[in-house]
Amino acid sequence: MTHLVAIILWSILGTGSGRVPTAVSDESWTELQVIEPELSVSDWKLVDLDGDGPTELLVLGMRGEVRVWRRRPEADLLADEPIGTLVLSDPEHSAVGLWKAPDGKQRLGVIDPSGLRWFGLGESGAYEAEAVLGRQRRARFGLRIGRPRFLDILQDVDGDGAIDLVLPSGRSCELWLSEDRAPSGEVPGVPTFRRGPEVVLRIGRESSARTERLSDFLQASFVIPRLDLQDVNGDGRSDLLVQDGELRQFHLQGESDGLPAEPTVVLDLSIFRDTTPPATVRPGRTLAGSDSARLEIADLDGDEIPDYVIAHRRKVWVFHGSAVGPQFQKPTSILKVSDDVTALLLPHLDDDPWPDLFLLKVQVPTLATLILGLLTEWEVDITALGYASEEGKTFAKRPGWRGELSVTLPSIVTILKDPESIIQRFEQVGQRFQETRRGDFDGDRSSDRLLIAAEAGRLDLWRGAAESGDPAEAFESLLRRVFFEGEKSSWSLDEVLGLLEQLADERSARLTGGRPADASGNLRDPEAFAAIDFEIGDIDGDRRDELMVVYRERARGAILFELLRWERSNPGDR
Amino acid sequence: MKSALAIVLGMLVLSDGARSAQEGIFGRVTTLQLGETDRPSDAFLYDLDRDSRDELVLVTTEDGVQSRRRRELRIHAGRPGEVAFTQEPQHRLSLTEDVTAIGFGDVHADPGAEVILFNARGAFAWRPGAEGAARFVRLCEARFLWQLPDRFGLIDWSAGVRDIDGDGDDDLLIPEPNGYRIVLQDRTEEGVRFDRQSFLRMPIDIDTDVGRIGGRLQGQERGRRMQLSLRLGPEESENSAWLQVLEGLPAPQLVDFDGDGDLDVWSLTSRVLSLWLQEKGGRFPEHPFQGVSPVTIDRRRRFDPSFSSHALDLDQDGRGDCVFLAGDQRSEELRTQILVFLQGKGRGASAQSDASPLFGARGIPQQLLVLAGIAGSPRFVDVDGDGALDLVVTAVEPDLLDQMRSRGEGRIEAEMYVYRSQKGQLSKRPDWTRTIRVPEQGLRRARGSLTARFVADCTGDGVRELLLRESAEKVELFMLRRRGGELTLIDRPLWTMRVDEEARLELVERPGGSRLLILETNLVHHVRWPR
Repeated sequence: MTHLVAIILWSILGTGSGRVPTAVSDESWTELQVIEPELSVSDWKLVDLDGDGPTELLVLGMRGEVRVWRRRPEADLLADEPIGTLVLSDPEHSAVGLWKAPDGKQRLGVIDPSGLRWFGLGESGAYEAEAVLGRQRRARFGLRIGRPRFLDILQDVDGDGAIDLVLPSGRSCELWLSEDRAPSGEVPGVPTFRRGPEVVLRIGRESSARTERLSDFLQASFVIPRLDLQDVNGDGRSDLLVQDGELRQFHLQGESDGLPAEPTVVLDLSIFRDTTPPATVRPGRTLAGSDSARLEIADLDGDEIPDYVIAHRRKVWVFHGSAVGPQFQKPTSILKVSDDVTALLLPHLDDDPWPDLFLLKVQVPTLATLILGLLTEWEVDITALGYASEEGKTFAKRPGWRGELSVTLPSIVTILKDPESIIQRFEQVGQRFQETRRGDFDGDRSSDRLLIAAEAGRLDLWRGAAESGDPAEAFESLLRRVFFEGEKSSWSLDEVLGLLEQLADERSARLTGGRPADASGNLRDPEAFAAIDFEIGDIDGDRRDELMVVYRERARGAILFELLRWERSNPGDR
Repeated sequence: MKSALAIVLGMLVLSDGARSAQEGIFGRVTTLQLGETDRPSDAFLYDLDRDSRDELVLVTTEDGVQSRRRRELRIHAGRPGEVAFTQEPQHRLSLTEDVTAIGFGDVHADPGAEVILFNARGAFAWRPGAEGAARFVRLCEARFLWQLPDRFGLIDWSAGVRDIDGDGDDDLLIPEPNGYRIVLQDRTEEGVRFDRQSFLRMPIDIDTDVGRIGGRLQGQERGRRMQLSLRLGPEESENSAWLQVLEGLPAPQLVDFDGDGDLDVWSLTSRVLSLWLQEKGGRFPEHPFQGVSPVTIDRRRRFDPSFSSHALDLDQDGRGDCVFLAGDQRSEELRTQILVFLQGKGRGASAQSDASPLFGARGIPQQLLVLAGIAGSPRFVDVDGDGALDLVVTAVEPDLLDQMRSRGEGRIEAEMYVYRSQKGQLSKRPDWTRTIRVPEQGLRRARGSLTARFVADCTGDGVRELLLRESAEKVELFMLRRRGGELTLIDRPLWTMRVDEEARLELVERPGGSRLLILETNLVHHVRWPR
């Protein structure tokens, strides 16, 4: 829903501060090294494997190879050839994670349908086939992920400082929690786990099995979400939130007994129903979204414990959490709002410290209206209401803010005849939201900001902490300006896209403090090489980070790694 | 007790409710009442016991909390007489989490045919009469494309169970992430084996997701859908996805390409048609024969609602042909081109060669037709009973839109056309046209999209009849007849039945004629018409 609101928002906002200024100094990026692995690359990491300071390049091959590029002796570069003999036995089911052992060395955890295995660095400084440190057969990972991948299988889920094992399946997620001691027979030096709770996962699936036509496409895709971990009772320990259809389950971590297998609190959103009929909508229109209840979580009263707002149609329930945890039996207040709710947010709309209630009603044309309007433009109507918080306890009975907007979209025929041009416009806007990374590239122990325009092939660096402003405040400011303070109430798609561009530029300006970049560089020709990842690490151990750009060569699909270092022509200048 | 109640309820519905819901006695309806919390997810018809009567194979899901929903497979035996199958399931199977798809075929030495279940690691035959571990027999190992189950039902992979090598036994075609696995059945006195396998590797690597989940504004193409998403929050925040797996490949078609009497495998990618031509002994070559497709499926084409392509033997010469329907991107008008490629029939500029036996060197079709508007739901069926496949297609035309708008009705109208074919030539103009009315409300609510389909001949004149759902609450069957060279529809329906406006309709073509399955909240109606 946040995405929907943001898109709508950005469709309407209209301020901006221009493109990112480019570098004016003599600082630049220098190419140190290009590594073109002979193996077919699946995944990679820049990481200090042996705890000696400099980072190594760890690569997983499509056929299960685990290879390490270490720093050359007496040189600032990585070796041309990798070392290591480990080959994973079941590459397309292998999820790989790293764990930093007390000796500072990274253990490699590999899990597949046969169980979990731990590998340690051999004398060569790489992972060797024979160096199996431990095994736990009962913990298994059965999903086919196509190729070996680094996944977050090792996380401190319960916040006890020890690593736990996270094992999703097609429906749920098994949590294996750290044990204090290795069971008898296990080799010490690697963590062992006991089976903990199994929680439901809301897995996104897309599948298609039509075969009637030559042009049909068989599809089987899925997305597994991360665990939702947040402290819901203010005790400093992470609790687990699980979504199961209309149920929201809260597993509250106890002081000594960890995460419980059964939820401590269960919220059934299906019982929150406003029995008044839905509000009227414009003829030929329907409310966007479903008619189910919506839940938003935020700290309403500033006690640093999350509170809960549930909305259905025109009824809003407010529940305050406490040190005991969430509760949904006694609402702090129940409100009747003046319009149906299709989106719910809790931003700051005024200057007091308490979040306010922001409701959106979005009306979209019915299918019939859309088809009848194939040849004509069509509109999405948005009504926004803001209810001020009353000292974090409840919200005002009447809206303090109100705004109505419409977005006019091109006729469907126009879109159908040339969808490419519209998609390209969106992509151009997307490219303005540049990738960003942080690293200490000049060794002054403060974080520098990197902005990457991958499609344009440009790389810009801002030294020092250039970021200004809070992204949350910027978003809230945007809401106010768009819905309640803006003069414009009707927007075309071109205007929407133009505003999105301005918003992207605003973000860049916020990240960089609006000043020119200290160093700029060019990536490889984007037509020939797609820059698909940017890793940061100190390769040579001089306490200055290097940048590793990962390219996919478009013609061959091969992966190559390019190491770049920020340098200035006269180091004494600064 | 619960079962007994279901039987009583079922019989009541059968004897009273269903008949009152339908008008005329032309159709015979058998209704199955499920338990209060049971929901029919999928329904299939297959003659498992080879008694010439189909069994109803039903997948049900329990209503309730999402994570605790259980899927069950039920077989209702076919029976003679008015009632098509037994009310009480003959066999039940609680489906485990790993089962993703279903098919049907005679794949075991047991009498009759079997239900075939697929999971991420292969295919299994279910033997409901056996005990313990013997209830399931692994047919083959495979990396089946669909590894996660549907929340409610099963994927229908019946299309993957065919007699591929022509020896009379059912074989398997299994899609895997990067190709197709052909698994052939051999029957001996010792039993059934599936040892003969070929793997048809897709010639291009379509797994292009090597990289990271990153970027704040992302676009993902899913067939004809494009999804744009925007990530908010702190700059260094983690992506909400722990893992994303994207797998897919073109749907394979089993059509004899070279006229040698066996089935070949067709696969169309964005620019190339790949053909694995079956060799003696059911073997397939490692590398496919490839031809450049005359219609490039670029991003613009993927969003073309009119686009489809079809592999079939249109001219009935035993060799595979190909038909494309594609929006005319050069025209200012909204119109669709129908391009017909007939193997060996090209002349002059459209002449074919050994190197390009279907599309020719220049990709010029043997026939080009133009249809006004956006085309949809194209099918090739023998409507008039002359043995040749005719083209049935609907179209939404701009003129029709103007009329609809001026009338201000909340209904959508489309033209339904039949182009008859003779020796592979489609009629230059449609031989039959009807305006199909679809209420928007019904379209929005009904999960099934069946609006107008030709069903097998019910009146004995050799011509198919037309099944229409022009309102969400009603299904009607109309007679089509041929007088001289003309096809005409009789206005008065042969049969009408009221259905729930959210009912899902499945039309099943069986050797005994067309069958209609209607899935409602906890009812399944089975409809058959005389033949």
